[in-house]
Formats: sequence, structure tokens, C-alpha cells
Amino acid sequence: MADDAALVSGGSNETAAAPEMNYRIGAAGHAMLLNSTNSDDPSAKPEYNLLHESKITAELNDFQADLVLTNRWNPNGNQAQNSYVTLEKKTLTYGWSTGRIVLGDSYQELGKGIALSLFRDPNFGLDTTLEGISIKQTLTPVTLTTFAGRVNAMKNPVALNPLENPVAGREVFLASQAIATKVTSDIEVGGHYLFTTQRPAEAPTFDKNWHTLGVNFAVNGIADTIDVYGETNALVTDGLGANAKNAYPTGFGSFVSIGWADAGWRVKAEGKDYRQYYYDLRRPPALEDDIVATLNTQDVTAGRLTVERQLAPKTSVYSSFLYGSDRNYRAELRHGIVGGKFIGPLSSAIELKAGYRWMPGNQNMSHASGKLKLPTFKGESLELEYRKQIENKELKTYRVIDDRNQTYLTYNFSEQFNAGLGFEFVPTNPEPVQANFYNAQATFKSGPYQAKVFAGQTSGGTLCSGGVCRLVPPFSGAYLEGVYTF
Amino acid sequence: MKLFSFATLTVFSLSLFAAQAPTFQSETTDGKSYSLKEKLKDGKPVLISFWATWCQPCLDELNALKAKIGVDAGVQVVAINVDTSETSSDVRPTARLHKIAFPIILDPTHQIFSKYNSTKAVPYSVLVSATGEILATYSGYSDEMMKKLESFKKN
Repeated sequence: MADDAALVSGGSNETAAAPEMNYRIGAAGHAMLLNSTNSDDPSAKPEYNLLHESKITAELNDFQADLVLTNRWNPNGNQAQNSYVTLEKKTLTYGWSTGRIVLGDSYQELGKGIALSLFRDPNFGLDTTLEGISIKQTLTPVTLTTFAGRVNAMKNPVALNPLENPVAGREVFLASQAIATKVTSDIEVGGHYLFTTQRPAEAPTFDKNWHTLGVNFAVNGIADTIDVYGETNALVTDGLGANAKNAYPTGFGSFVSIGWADAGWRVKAEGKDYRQYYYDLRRPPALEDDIVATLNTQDVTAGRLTVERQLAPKTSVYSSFLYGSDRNYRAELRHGIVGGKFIGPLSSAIELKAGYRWMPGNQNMSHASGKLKLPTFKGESLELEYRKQIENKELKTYRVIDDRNQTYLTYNFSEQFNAGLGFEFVPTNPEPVQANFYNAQATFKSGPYQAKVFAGQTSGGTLCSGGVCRLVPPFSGAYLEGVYTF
Repeated sequence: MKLFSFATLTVFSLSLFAAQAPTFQSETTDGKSYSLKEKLKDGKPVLISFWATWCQPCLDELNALKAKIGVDAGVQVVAINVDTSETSSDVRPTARLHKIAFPIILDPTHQIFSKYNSTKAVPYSVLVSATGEILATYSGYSDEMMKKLESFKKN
């Protein structure tokens, strides 16, 4: 670490006319050492896994090169999964004042992710990129973005609950052209075309094409208080080869958002209309809270109104209500939520939230959560968190009740170190799955290093991250997780 | 053991390099171009604050930065929003509600965030010296960071 004197040392602009050679090298990494038992077969021997990911960045003037390397070691499991070094991503970027060109891997998103989203989510071990070329150029007021290449997904995810490789068993190729122009400083309109084609892995011929055409607009700061965004897309699918006889429906995906904030109020109205939109490399706004396991973003229409009132610093209340139609279930959908944050006794910070989601005749779910952070001694605090969720998953035929309770107690000894205990109770778990789950964990942070140790069991259930949700199985074992940045 | 050796060697060898902040260039929510390299030429350190609209400690941190540091102090702040497309429509209204006047950059695919942090945990802040070195990183709301930044203001 440099000392504080470096903060005010002369910038590179003080070194006058001679051409400069600016270079930087850095890295960010993430490692997990796991010891876990198979939740489906508790009698099986525990498995060990070492997972490691490192992103190395080198910069020279306007060029930047990135490499992502992973290691995976499973000594007593499937040896075929071992990988001493896998080169996952490689990127060379050249930037100039009005644009940049990227060769290799890059993240891509069109609009709000309805048409396409290639993104990274460490919680699920997702890191999906476009491996090819991407060019962005601004010719004021127009910005052009062009990209083409194949979809490259992470092979060795460093995650406790990795999602399946989104392009497993197939090769997917993309090409896109997008244009955006500023009509005024506050109004922007744009459009995009995306071509996608795929073939089964190692097959010589392609079996499906997608054509996506979309337009969007944004109006920011109307009367300094209102922001509006709208987008609509059409998706045409063609079968090729053996699929040529299949008729695929034309999909449509639209989203609109109007937000207003002023004088301590924030009001937002959103609407989504997705119709037969069957394309999986996307992450569209779902408008659902992050506790709903099954997100239908293919064939659903809904609107949500959110109102938040800021009463004082760290004190606010909010409510939201979603109403729509889920065409997969052929049912209406409603979800109401209320919550608040406020300062409680002894300068404690309290967060409360509760809601009810129901699809008449199909499903219902009630949920509540609370979090208390209580300062104790100087620089120390105690945190207590409780979450409860009861879901009736199938009301039409027979009742399947899922009752989940989670309690966590954490003590923050300092900003660098905390330790805690967890208790999860799922009385509705079918035999032989246990109902009680106990765990302990501690986290240590020091500058650019972080380490977390966990031991015990977790009950699994719905895990959501960035609008992506999945049901994860119970976990039993221990892990050590480290994060570093150089 | 080969793997352990490789990982250890990788970590050790990388630690020999100075902690340099990865540069980035993007557009702020008010339509202005933002380049870390160009900002550092002002001769002031930069605090990069990664935040999300749904993250209460992030909002507490940005409010505290606003109150204690101000927008024109000895440290330049840039707020990089890591909301995904699910919640990115909240960014401008939330910034307006909390009167966040720092430059805000949207990073929905974590193109920038992934260079600084291998996890998704926010708030996450990186203090970069005027010469481009990473002086400190802060995970979670940090009183230590506030004290450090206030010391720059006094100087």
C-alpha cells in the first residue's frame, strides 16, 4: 500500500511533453475450499473441492488486456472435472475518446436485458460473455454499437450453488447492431437488431435462428423529477434442418417504467408484457420480489406500483403492489408488500418487510422478515435477522406446504471481523430430510483481502440474485472462501 | 498439491505488483463522459463507490459521503451503480430521493465491478490515489473510510 503522501504527489500530467508510458498490472480473485456431503445421499462420503478464479488485468496506455483463469480440484470426486488451469476469458480492449473496440470476451446487454443479456453473477457462478468483437463509437449525438461472436460461458464456476452452463450442449453465435441517439440532452431513442443462431455441440449444421428487433426510448428529468423508459421487442424464430418443419410463434417483449421522486417521495409505476418470448440468453425485468422461485418471463403481463416515503435519514416506509396475468398458469397474479426502515431504541437500526403473493386457485405465499442492528461497544454491534415464508405450492390438486424459517445472529467485533450463528427450521420437509439446520460462520476483512469460513448446514430453498432465481438443495459441510484484489 | 502450489504461486507473484486501479471509461447518468484516467489527472484521489438501489448500507454510505465529504472536496467520488436490469429503473429516482450529486455510472453487467471485486457484495469502495494506486478497499459501510476521507478534506 502506498502511504498518504502518494495521494497528493504530482499527477502524470505534470511530466510535460515527453510521451508517457503508462502501465498497470492488477488482479482480482476468488477462491473456495469446500467439504460437503451430497444432500440427495447423506450416506455418501464427503467431497472436497478447491475452486479458484483469478482475473488478471494489464494496461498499457490506451490498451487493456484481461485474462480470467480458473482452477478446479476434486480429489475424491469426479476426476474428469479436475482442471489445473483453464483459460476462461481473454480480452484485448483499445479505447479512444469517443469509442472502444474489444477483441475477445465482453459482456453485452441490449436495452433492459429483454432482448439479450450476457452477464456475470458470482452467486450462481455465472459468467457469460460474447467471445468475438465489439465496437462502440459515438458520433455525437449518435452512438453505434456492433458486436459479433460466440457465447462463452464459465466452465469452472466458483460458487456454492452454480447454475447450469447456459449454453451446455450447444454452440450459440450472435451478431448485433444497435443505435442510440440523443434527441435532446434528456431524451434518447434507440433501436437494435440481434441475430442468433445455434447448433448442437460438435454438429456441423445449425438447427435454429432467432431474429430480434427492438426499439427503446428514455426521457430523463422531466421537470427535474420524472424519468420514463420504454422498450419493445419482437422475436422471430426459424427452425433449420431437422427443426425446419416446426412452427415457432413470434414473441413480443415490452417494458415501461415511470419514476417520480421529489420532496421525500418516490413513486414508480412499471409494466411488462412478455408474450411467447422463448429465448434464454436474457435477463428481463421481472417486477417480482427476490423470493419468488419461478419467474415466468416468457408469457406474462403485469404492472407494479411502488411508493416510498422518506421520513428522515435512515427512516422510510414503502409499499408495492403487483397485479397481472401469468399465462403459463392461466391465472391472475397479485403480490402486495409493505416495509419500513427506522431507528429504534438504543440507536438500533430496524428493517421490517411483509407481503402476500397469490394466484387464486393455484398458489399463495406469505412472507415476513425483520432485521435489527444494535450498536454495543465502540465500533461493535449485534445483528439479528429473521425470515419466514409459507408457501402453498399447489392448491388445485393437493396441498404442498413449504414453511421456511431462518434466524441469524451476528456480532460485529470490528469492521474487519464478525462471527455469527444461524438456525434454519423447515418443519414441512418430507422424511428423511431433516427439519433443523445449524451453522456458524465468521468473516475477516483486511484491506483488499477477505476470508469467510462457514461450517454447518443450510436448508436450501429459493435463492435469487439479480432477478435470476433457482431452488437450491440443502447444504451440509464446511467451506473457506477468500477474495483478493491487487 | 500441484493445484495448491499453482494457486499459491499465482497469489504470491501477483502481490509483487503494485496495487494499480483498473481504469475504465463510461458515461454518467447525466450524459457526461467519465474516464478514471482523465479524472486522476486532476491530481486528487478518487473514491469509487459501488452501490445498488436496494442496498441500505450503500445509501447510508452515499449519504454520509455527501454530508461529510461533499462533492467538491479533496477527494473525487464516483458512484458506480451495479443494479441489474431488474432494478436499474430505480437509479435516477433513488439518486434524486437521496440527493446524490456524485457522478453515477451504470454497470448492469458488472463490466467494471468485476475488475475490482470477485464477489457481488456491496457497498464496496476503492480509494485510488492521484497516481492510480489502490490505497484501500472497504467492504460494507465503513466508519474508518469516512475518517480517512475527512482527513483529506482537512488537508
